[in-house]
Amino acid sequence: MGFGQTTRAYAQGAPQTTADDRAQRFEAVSGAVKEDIAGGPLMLAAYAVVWLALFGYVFRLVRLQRGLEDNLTRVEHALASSSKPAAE
Amino acid sequence: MAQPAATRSTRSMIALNALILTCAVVMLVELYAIFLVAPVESQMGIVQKIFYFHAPSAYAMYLAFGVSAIASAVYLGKRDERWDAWAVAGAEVGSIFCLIILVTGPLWGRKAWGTYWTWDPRLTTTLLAGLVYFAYIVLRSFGSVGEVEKRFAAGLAIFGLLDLPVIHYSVRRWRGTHPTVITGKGGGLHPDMYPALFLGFFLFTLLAALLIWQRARLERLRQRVLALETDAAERGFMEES
Repeated sequence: MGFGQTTRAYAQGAPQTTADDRAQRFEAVSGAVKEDIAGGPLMLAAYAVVWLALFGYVFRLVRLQRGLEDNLTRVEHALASSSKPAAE
Repeated sequence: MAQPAATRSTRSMIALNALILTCAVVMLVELYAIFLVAPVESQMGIVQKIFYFHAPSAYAMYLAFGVSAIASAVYLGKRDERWDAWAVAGAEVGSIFCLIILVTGPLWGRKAWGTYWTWDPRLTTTLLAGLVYFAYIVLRSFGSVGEVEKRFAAGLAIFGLLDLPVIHYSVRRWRGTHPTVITGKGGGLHPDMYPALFLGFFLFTLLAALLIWQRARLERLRQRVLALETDAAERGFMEES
């Protein structure tokens, strides 16, 4: 979509404002919401990304912790098996 | 007076659980504030609700990258592994928030600007910060990271810090297309939008603190397990593995 189309989209949906106004002020809608570019899917995609990124990172931390537990168990076994002959 | 390790560990677990619970509650309240309190924006419509996670993510990114850079500087001075753990944690967590910014921003831009990406000063400098810390993570993810790699990565983190004020002030200095509604020059927000925004900042501060703390704790544990493995191998206990 080009810049001209974007301008028309704004003009149809709401009172026309300058680019500076749109960049410096967020105002509440009055009356019915009318949008030309569907905002719903974009918003849902954005929220999905936030959740996926956060939960994905928590999952990475869980995997990292499991890996550390495995390594620790390996060291414990190695130490235990090496100390057995001395004890006997 | 030094506390016993078990007492410290119990207190740490209580604090962790409290932080997780607080994050969950604030997250629910934040979603309520975004969708049921904050009105739909007149120009952009419902897509403007991305803003309540996008701006706090930027703040959390500054926080995490700041932790990484400061911890890196201290590590370079003291060569203490504990500071290196905080540096790694800050870089990783900051990169997650940077990813959120770089994906949610273009989704908002598609509606506001009619295009997903533009080489606006703030977008470009944010991408640059993301690339610097991505390089840090790649460098640190090599199999065996030695002292030289750690020092080089610390230098990268400090270099990345220099970009953060540039991101923040780029909008004022070079006047790009990025919104400036929460700066002194902006026209501000509708009054009903403030609760969602402030809750978002609070939530993402908690999330950043929680994730950095946990990642640093795991990195510290990883360092200690690695030291044990190395010690055991040197004594000939790890021959079978």
